[in-house]
Amino acid sequence: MPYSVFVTVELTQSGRGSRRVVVGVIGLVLFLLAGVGAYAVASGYREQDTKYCGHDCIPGLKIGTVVEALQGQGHACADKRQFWSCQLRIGKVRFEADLFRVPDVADFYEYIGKVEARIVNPDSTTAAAGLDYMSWFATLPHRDDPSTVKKLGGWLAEQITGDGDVTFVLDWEYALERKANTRSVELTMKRRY
Amino acid sequence: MAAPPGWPYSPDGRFWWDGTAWHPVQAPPPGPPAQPGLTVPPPPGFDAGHPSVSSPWPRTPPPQRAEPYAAGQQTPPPAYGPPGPPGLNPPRRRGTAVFALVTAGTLIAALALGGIAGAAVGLATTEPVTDDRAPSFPGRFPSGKQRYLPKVTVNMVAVNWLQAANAWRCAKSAAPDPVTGATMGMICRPGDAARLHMSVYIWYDEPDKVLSVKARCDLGVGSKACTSLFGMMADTLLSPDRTLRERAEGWAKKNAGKEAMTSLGGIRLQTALHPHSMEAVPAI
Repeated sequence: MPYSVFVTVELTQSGRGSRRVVVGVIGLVLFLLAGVGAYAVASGYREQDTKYCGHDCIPGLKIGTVVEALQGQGHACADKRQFWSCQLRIGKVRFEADLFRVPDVADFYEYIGKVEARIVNPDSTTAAAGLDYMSWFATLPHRDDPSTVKKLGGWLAEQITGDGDVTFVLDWEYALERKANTRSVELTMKRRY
Repeated sequence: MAAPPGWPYSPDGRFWWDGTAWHPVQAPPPGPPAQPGLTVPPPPGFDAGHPSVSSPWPRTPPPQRAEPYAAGQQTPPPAYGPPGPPGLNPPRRRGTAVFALVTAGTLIAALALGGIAGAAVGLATTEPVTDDRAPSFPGRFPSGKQRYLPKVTVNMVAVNWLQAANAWRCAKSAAPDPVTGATMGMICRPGDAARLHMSVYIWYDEPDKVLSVKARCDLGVGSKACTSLFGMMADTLLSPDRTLRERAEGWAKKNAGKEAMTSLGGIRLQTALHPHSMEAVPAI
């Protein structure tokens, strides 16, 4: 066999080997990348799964946890079976919140499906406290999403000094209503599809 | 026109070479068409030294001579390269195609397997968050600590100001206040005839947890007694802060005859005309 042909054959076999190694490395990288990506997606999906409350609750927050947090702020809370009612009076102003349990077939899940938060007798000096009060409840379902929290805060700030409105944010319906007969502002939030 | 036996055909078998020009083949040439790499070699004497050949086989024939060839294709005749060693080119191309297919398949399989494996691990190892902590409260979120008038005690109002300095008489009330939610109350009135026209209500949970203080005066809007009562009340409530007590007293006297509101030192003072009164509650 001529030398040139021999060298050509050797180089060809060596080139094929190199190409196989390169393909193998690329395949391994793709495998890892696809694995990491799919893991992140599946993990996030699993974390947000709300099957444990019938898919109709504020994710990951037990009603007792929220009640305890409010009590820690000095709010007085009472269990009314269908909902927990918490309130705080400062002077003539009343901050009231009803946290409704998610109904099950014959009972209730210990998670929140609806919130009614109201401020009775608000005035110009209670605007900042009122906004923070409403915002805390409104952002409970989106507490890990800063952009949505900011968006909701902007909507509330606009509506709390106006006549009120309804909006939908990521499967949640928000309605802010000003009631002249009770001199109150009320926020109702519930799950909507 | 069919090629005479022995003359070469183009690799696609559609033309034959007479030594000077390409001619289209009119009828299928006998035998299988020439294949790439198996092109019929040039006839004997058909080399660079042949006097009638302008370019060596199988280089592109001269343009004017190539017209018949080009006429059938609308494009210039292909520049057939020199035929390689018989049987070498087809296997190499076939090998490259197989390699490309295997590579693509491997990469697609890697993506699919990686995705499936990652998703399976993600679903199997992650549990839904079912008992998260409550988020922190914003800075102005109303707190139970804001329910009481800062640094104000029942003694400060009832004993030091009203009873000791002005000989007023105070009585406790066990009824809770429906407005502030205070569990206990105290009403103080002057010891003389003015008791029918002046009063101070103190609502509290504990002696040092006062929710509201309200003075009422029915001796006429703008009367000296009412203005003095409101001024002294503001001075008493802000007495722990020397700089604010004077401002508070001045504001109360100035606004005793109209409806107004202000916040000083965590206390909101509000005057009203019907009934003529001034009330102090915590500022939010």
